Amino acid sequence: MKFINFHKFIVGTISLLLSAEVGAIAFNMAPLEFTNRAGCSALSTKPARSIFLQIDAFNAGKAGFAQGILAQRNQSTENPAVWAQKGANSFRLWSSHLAYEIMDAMRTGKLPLLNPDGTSPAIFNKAVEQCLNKKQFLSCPAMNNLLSEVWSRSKMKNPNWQEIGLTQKDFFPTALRTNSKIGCHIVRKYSSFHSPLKTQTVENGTITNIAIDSLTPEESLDSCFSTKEGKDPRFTTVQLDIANLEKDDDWDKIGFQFWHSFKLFYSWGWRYAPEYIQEYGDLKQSFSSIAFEDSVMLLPNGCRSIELPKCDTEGLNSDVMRAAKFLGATHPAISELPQKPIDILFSGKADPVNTDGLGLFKAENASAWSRDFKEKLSTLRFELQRKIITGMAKLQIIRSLVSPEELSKDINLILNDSSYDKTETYLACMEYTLAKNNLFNDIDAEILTLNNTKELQSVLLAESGKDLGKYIEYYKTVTNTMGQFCKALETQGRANAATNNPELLKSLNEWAFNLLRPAEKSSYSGQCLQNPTHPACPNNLDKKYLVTRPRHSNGQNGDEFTICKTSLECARTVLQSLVSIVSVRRYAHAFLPLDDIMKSPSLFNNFATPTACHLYDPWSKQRNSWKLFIADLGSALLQGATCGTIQSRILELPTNKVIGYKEIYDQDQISYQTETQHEATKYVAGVDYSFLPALSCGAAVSNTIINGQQESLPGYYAQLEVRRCDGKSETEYTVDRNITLDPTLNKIVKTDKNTVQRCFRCTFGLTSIAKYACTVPLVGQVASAGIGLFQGVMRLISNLSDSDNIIKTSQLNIDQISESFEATQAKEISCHNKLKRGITCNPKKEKAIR
Amino acid sequence: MKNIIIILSFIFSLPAYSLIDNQPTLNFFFDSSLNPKIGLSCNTEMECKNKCSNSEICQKEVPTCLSCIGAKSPYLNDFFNNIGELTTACFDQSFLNKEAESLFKYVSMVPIFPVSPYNPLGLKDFGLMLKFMSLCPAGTQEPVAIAFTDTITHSIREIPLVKCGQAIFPLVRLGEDCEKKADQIQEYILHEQDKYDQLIASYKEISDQGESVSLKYDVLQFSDFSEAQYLKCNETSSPICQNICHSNLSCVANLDNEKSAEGIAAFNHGQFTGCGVERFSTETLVNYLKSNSSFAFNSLSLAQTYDLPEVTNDFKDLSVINTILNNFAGVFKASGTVEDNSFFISNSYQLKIEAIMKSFCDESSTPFIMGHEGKIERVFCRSGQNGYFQILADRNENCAEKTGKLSISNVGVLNE
Repeated sequence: MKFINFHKFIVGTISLLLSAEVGAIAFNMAPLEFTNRAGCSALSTKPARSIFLQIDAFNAGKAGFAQGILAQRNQSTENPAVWAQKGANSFRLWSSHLAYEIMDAMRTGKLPLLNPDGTSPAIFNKAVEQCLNKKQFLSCPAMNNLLSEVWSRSKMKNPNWQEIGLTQKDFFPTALRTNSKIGCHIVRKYSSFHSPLKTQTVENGTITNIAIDSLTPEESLDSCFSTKEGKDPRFTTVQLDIANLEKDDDWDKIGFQFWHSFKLFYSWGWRYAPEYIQEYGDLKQSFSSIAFEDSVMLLPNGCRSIELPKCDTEGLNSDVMRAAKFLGATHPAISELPQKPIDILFSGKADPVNTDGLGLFKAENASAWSRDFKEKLSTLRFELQRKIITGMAKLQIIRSLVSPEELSKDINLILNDSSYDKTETYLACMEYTLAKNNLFNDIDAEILTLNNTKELQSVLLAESGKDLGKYIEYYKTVTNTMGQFCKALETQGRANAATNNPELLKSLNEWAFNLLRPAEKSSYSGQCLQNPTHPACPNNLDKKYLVTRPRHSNGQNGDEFTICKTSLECARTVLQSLVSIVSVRRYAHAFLPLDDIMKSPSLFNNFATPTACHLYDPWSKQRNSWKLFIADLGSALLQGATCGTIQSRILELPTNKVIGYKEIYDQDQISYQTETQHEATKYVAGVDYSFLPALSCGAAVSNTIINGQQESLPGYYAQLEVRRCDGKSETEYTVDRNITLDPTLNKIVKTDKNTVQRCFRCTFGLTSIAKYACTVPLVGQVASAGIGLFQGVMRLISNLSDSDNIIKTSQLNIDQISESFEATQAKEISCHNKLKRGITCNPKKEKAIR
Repeated sequence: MKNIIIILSFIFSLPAYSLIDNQPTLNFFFDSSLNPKIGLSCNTEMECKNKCSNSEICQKEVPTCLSCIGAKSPYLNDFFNNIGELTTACFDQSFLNKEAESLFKYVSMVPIFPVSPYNPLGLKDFGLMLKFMSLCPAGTQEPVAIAFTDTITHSIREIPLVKCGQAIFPLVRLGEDCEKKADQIQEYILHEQDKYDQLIASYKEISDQGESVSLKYDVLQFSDFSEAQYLKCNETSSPICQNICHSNLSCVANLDNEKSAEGIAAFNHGQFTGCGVERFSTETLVNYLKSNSSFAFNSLSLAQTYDLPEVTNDFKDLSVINTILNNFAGVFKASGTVEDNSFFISNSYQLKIEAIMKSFCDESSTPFIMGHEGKIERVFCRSGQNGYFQILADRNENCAEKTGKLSISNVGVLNE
């Protein structure tokens, strides 16, 4: 193995080396985004700028160990464990380096961005059509050939991309490229650099903590090119960032494409990139044979996504996987007949976001967290694989020994034998009835479509799996037979079990018991395993053995294990096995290695899938707030004259910007009820309310009606001003007297300023005051308008301060904090405040200005 | 425990000439640096030369097995979960032995040993090893299961065979018919052979067209340490790329950095003269891309950093590097520190060598120096879509002799 080259192989990554000295360290990390629930949900539709690459070097270690065993045969001093360690370490180095190199090559325009929707060059569209659309990637020649060609070209002095149809637009935009940098760090321990994962807002301590941590980064981070081995050679968390992006919007447009292309190049490059193959040295055959997508996982660092979350089986992945972290082996996925993932999604309760729900910060270090998570996933995978292998094996044996027709014949023979054990017939008929009845579950329907969906294809490609269709046919025949058989028994009066033994139900297979007795699920214990002498256990039933016995030797010690002995038991086993397979399919996407492309679940955003599934709308509350506000505002202005009310029936407002009142009014989305003042309202035109989110409490209104000149100045209306109240309980508002709307400019023009100041307590019973204002002429029109408006503002404020459901985001830049802090070693208050608002701050300059 | 030792001891046996009969046999083994290899036994060196592209021993590298190490492959999961139980060998079907040569030549395959990183269940499972042993008749040695992989994508297609000693038996699932399975395997081999023949046929057809074939050759620097030959085909020339690497777009063939260094040293040392321009021949070019012992370099290669040979058995094998340094006195420089274990060519020499290279081609074309086993053979002057060759002879060589020798050695390699 060649480790030596590693240092030299690194091109242009100097800035990443961390030092313990105080100095301007460029962390090259994407800005930290602090968000609440709505903000996090909204971000789920935007591409990540920082990701965690979770490396599990188990397979590489295994490859090294196997090689070590060989080496030991050559030379007894060789220690396979050391080889395993070397394999693991080598894997970590090369896989993180490859990731970095690809990201940087894309950023600098050396590698193109391949658009997954097929709007890219013809050559890529062809590969998409032939491969990706069929969920194939590396197992599809067209894709391999294309990536090989693109990779080679990227190494040419003059790549001549036009030759394969790529143009400027297929590359990372130059405008974004300018100052951007790729950051690559090993996360040894989750620290304040990851604060957005555990806190929703920037608090006073947040910046201080980041500043302090930035002085001793080596305590939580390491360069991803470090050859130093971590505490756990198997699990490494690498953080990859794309930092200093000039235009967020532009990134949001290409980000998903960036990550998609990254995944393609990464999977391909690991196996086939010539320069890497060469570096693998003795391990080249093993390393290129590693199930790479199973050894690395990408996780977005924060609320943004690597792949746009979708509301489908695959999209539900991340939720199912997240649950695995908590539930481990109690995850529903491995119960006999689990609920479908969609049924357990977002079951009405709104969990908090960004509160370190997955316990990153509680883990001793980052590797420990990965280990725990991966182990839970592995347990679940192992169980699912065991289920499917056992299920398929049983089906294969039964089918190879008894044809469905023979089995049907054997079953029907029971009809002629009135002394046949009633318990057994009862159990068999019960299970087949349960399966067939879609009221309970969709078992029958799902069995029949097992072969139509893609989920199982890649798990079942092997010999045994090719026969799945035949097993379904087998099941169809047997179901038919069982239907008629059970009916016939009924007419013969033999349908009920002989005994009324409640324990009898426990002799049903577990899935059937659970369907029948959902409340007693936990009480099911394989009775016949524990107490095989129980009369209801299959062994003790009075049964007719099959002529051809589907017994099978396991070949180990001559003992025989029996798959089924009687025709009915075989029929039940067929059903049971198919139920297992159905249950595996329900969770296959989350736990089985189905796809060629590596997984990238939005693990830290538990609202990504609910948002994609429209179960949660991050904008709705905000929209509603504005809707109410605009209605209130309109009412207030009109109340100045009439005390009529405006009712809002806005259904769809633009999601992320506030539009003018006129715009809304013109679109006829607001109606004014009662003694019409339509004329008046439209002059509110041109008022832009977008400054409002900054306010905390307070409003001011100016209204030309104040002097009772309404008649003479019918067209001149109110201008709105909002003032900050500085946290006091009182609010002041100003009334400017003479304000006119210049119709040619469509703009409000102040002609005279005559400010009236009033203070209201924020605790007013606003509704009652508004009503009072309308009914008591004495208070006057201005007061009523003011109060009405004030009410609207208050409502908006209280709505907007809904801590979870109104989008709130703030960003911090680690490099800026680090820089400012490092210069003074102490944090200036003014600097701190600037930083809090995301503005660069240079303490020295600050001092000079003062 | 004895069993394991037997299993493992065979692994190092190198491909031997078969002593018993004339039937060639398949061998799976590991080379000195523990890379897995597939070999075919021959009775004589000549036989090997005939069978295997002019090589004295018939062996090739075990190809990548797509996503085989890990619990991903359904074939491997199925295999390791069911061997000895649902999956058994058909000892009555031994006629596949005679297919060894076809298997070697046409089928892309990966051996699965009892101790295998491909085993998703673990490495040292004694119970499993016993089951594995039961795939071979009692008393014979060392079962090796054989997975057929896709030539292009390297994904496993099936695991249909087990090799017990020299015998090859089909593997069947419970209830599967042995004879039918053996037939299926034979069909598979025939099918692969057909594909291969077709590939060769369309390749021959196109390569006979000489200069009119559109090919773009280059030597690319993938990193400071790694270079590869690159060949781009277009629609008409795609059979050529398919023959080399099964792609219809382009092929990449890694170059051994050490061999290139030897080549550069020899080029500097040899005082070569050109033996006259040769017509462009696809076969000649393809030969350099396909052969394991070839090297090729262009002017950009001179700026590469070259590795010292790896440390073996606690001492540095300096013979190769010494040869290079002696041949190239004053040219190579160790880079920075000794621990770097690498060296590069000084700028002045780069310019000097580049000038010599250019002198063999006309101005509008780009020179590539090519050869085998550290010996300079030709310059390829790339111009436009292909280019022309010129054989180079050093001061101790005679042009006519060298031309004759090189024309013979090309034969055969192409059919690999």
